[in-house]
Amino acid sequence: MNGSGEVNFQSIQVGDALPELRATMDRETYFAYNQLIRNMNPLHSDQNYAMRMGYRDIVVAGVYTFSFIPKMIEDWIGPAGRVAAIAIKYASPIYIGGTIVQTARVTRKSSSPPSLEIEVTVRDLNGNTLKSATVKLEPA
Amino acid sequence: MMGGEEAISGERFQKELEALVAETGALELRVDHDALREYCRLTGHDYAACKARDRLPAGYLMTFIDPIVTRIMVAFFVKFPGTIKGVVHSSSRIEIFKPLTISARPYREEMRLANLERKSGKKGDYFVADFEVILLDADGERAATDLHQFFLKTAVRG
Repeated sequence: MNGSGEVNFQSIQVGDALPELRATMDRETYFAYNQLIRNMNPLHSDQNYAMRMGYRDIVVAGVYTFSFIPKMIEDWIGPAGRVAAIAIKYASPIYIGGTIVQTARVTRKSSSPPSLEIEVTVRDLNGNTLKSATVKLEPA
Repeated sequence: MMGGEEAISGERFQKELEALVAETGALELRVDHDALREYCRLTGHDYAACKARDRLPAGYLMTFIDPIVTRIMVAFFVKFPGTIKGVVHSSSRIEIFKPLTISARPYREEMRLANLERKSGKKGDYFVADFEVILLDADGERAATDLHQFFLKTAVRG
């Protein structure tokens, strides 16, 4: 569904839901990402360190999990819009091996200048909220 | 340089942190196609589509500007080995002022310490530190900003 471009910016209404996004924090993939950014924080690579810090396992870095929030929006809006702002709060850790479930809904639509506000919630498979975000979208 | 399990005062910690950020300076950032392709593979983005549209995915921003953040993280652990017990990313406020393009001339990033507050919680003392990363385009105009908030768990006195 990458960049389908089938969503028309003008036709979007408050309350519209975006397609859900699920992603598993696969160990091999995540460690490759750590390598890509040369992540030095042991919280994101060392289980013993993470447990000493009070976590139950390696915590997946916010810089990685962040990726999936604008991705979900861009997959939906395609070339019709662009992400202009994101405010994100990390409420609970996302652990290696865990699966995130992202849901999102349009909460505000402005006409002058045209923009949309979208609330995104990221939960684990048990429904616990892990993070939330507000995304501002403008026409491309 | 401080070492061991040294506890420092809040005032001194702030000064040390500000000095550390100042030392970090600015970095030039070029879009590395191999890195972008790998990022897309690891996050499920469509690299070919990004390239065809000449757009960096918005999700790549935090990864793209990460070098200056990593540099400061390394400095934390080198300069404050016994003082910084842990670093937790708690929030981010991102603004993207213009489309970020793959073909752009090199960007530049800078960082500043926007705010520092000392807090106490169940697990002990910590600081809430707001670091603003500013991404400038080749004309020196702001392309994006990211106000990162970190919890710095510390051994701090006074």
